[in-house]
Amino acid sequence: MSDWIWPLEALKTTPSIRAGLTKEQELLWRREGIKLLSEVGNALNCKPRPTIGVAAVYFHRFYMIHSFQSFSREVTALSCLFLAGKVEDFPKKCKDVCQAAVTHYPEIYSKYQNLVDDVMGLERVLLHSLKFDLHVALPYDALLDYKMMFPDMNREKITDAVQIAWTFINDSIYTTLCITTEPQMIAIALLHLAFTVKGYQPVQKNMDPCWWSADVSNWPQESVDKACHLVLDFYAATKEKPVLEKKKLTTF
Amino acid sequence: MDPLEALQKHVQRPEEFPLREVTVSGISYVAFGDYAYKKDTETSLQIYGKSDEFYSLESLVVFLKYSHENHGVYVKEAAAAGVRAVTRIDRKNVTEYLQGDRTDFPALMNQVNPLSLRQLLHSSEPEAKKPRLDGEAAGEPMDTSTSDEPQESAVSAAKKEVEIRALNDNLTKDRIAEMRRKRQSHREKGIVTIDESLSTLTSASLPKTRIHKTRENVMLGARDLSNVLDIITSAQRQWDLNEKKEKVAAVHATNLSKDQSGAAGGQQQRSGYSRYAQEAFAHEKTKEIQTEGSFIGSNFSSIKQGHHAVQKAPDAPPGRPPLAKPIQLLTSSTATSSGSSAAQNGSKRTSRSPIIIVPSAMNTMINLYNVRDILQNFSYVPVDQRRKETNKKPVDLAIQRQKNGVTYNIRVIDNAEKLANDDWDRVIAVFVMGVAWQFKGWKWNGNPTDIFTHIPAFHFHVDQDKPVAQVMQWNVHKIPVSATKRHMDKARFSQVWETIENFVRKNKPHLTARLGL
Repeated sequence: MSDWIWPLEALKTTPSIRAGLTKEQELLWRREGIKLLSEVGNALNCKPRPTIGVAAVYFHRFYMIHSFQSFSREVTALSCLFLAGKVEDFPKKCKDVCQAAVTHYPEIYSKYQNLVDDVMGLERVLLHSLKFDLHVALPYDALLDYKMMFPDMNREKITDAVQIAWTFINDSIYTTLCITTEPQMIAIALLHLAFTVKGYQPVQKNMDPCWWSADVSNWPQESVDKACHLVLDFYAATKEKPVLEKKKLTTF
Repeated sequence: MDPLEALQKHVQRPEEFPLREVTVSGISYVAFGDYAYKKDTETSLQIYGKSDEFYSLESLVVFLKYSHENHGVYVKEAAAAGVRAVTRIDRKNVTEYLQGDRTDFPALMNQVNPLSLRQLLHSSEPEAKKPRLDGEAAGEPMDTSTSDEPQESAVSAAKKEVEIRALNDNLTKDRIAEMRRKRQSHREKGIVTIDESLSTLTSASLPKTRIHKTRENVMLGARDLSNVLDIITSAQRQWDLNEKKEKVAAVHATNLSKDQSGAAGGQQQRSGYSRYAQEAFAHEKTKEIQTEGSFIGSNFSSIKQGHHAVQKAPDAPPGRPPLAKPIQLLTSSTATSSGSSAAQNGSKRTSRSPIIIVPSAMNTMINLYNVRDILQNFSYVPVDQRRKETNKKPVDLAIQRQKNGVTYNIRVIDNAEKLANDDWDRVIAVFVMGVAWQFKGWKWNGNPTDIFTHIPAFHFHVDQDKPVAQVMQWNVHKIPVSATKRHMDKARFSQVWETIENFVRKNKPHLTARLGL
């Protein structure tokens, strides 16, 4: 691991999997944590950029270091949201975060008598686990830069593609893409996916078919497709079984 | 008053209502006292046997004169006078009316108003001689010995007649004088009216006098400032409205900060600013982008067609039935997926044509660009060459196969994820490009082994090279294609069709008619 980017093989030997969880279960529990974090953040009027996005990255990084059996994902989700709010200068009071969580997910959080203290306590563990390296780059900024990269395209087309790519990035926080791929490459992959979905042709006559080669060299088409498939797999999985379908956490 | 009633009063009181006959301006009148009627005025006595004819006034007067004679004599006199005779049947009825035995008068349809004898005589002075002649006829002869004396006596008689009429009519000299004075005053009033009209006309036509400046009108000035007050009033209203808006905005900001900070004993927040509501200051870069969207649970077809509504992540309703297998997107280098229109969906639903699936990539030996040349014309044309000739990619392709003089249509697609479950029955061939992700989203969970069990698969490769290592493990027909020699294409591509037809005969008999087998 370097610069908070893990190789793909590391996802097979996470602390949760080593502690006895299966690969599918661990992936499902990550989605549930991100779902809690995202819904509570929406209730507090947080935006995907930057608060919810940064909180999701903290969540995924935390569980590459600790296991789901040691720290419950519901409390970690609130701690990540609380910490991300302070880091990105969109703070929310811990009392408000816990109140929104109890309001939206009463079955999950009603068993915590001192939820505020638990969230505060876990925040200290989170800070040490992340080694106080709290700055997180999100793919949204790179996406806005690539908006200027296609002057030949129609303005409406590029705006439409960027809108769809932005929505793809919103949904990519449910996957492990943010801990295996750099943010700029996530933006490239999901913008490419948006072009593909809309059927747009960004490549011009004198342009490399891999239009991202100027910024990211030696990144082949197959790797871009793999990143896209991670998001597509998430859509396929949640279409049949939505995350937290009955507002309850899954157990063994 | 009714003529019959007047006649009745004459019979009862002859001295009060004397009977006289007067002719004025050629019209004959019958007068009872001061009540005068025309001679031919109809009375209310109805003639027996006729519903719309009545006895005239002169007829009754003649009857009254000869009422004491027998009926035969009366009829002769009536005929001589030229009036209608009262019939023998009505004789008793008329007598009763005239004597006053019966007081109920039948109602006349049109009321006849009596004229004033005085007015008639007064308006026609030159005819004053008529009454005197009538007086002579009444049986009072006058002395006519000399011609001079009768003239003087006539004049004096006329004067006496006037005085006598006045006395008889209850009009004294004083009353006549009073009436004359009234008429004089009326005439004077008329003159006064004319004078008034003249004075009015004079005052109206008077020229207007010049208006001098006074202490008051000097202060008004030359400009017209009547609308200044209206402008000031509207401006004041606008200022009040703006002030109200600012107050409402301030209150709204306060409420927003209160909501953000929570109800439980929060710290006092300054109005219009909240430390915990920083999202209000949005980023300039993302003002065009809707930042809180999600495609979770939505379909990709709507995204392709461009009618998608970016929605917030929706919570799934509990107990929702599981949806069909989601449509997977096949991604590859510069691949483009075309949206399907409603017409195509309709035609696809009813279509029963066989289907061939080709890769959608560009770096392959067969795709929609050159599939027609390979499977229909039996000659290999590279993708690059055909692509240069055609600017856009064929969207919906159908190739024709000639067999025994009959043409059969076979549909070729490159996006198999659009196929429904029952459409896979019509797939007769698959052309693989050598990568496993080509089958993502296909039936049988995209497993190549299962796919090749149900559908024959073909892979084209250059004859000098070996096929891709992945393809060697699959149950795929490897078709070598020469890079330069074109004379072997027909034999090899016919082999493809032979394999397809054998497969259809054995496994899909419902499509044999579609292929001419």
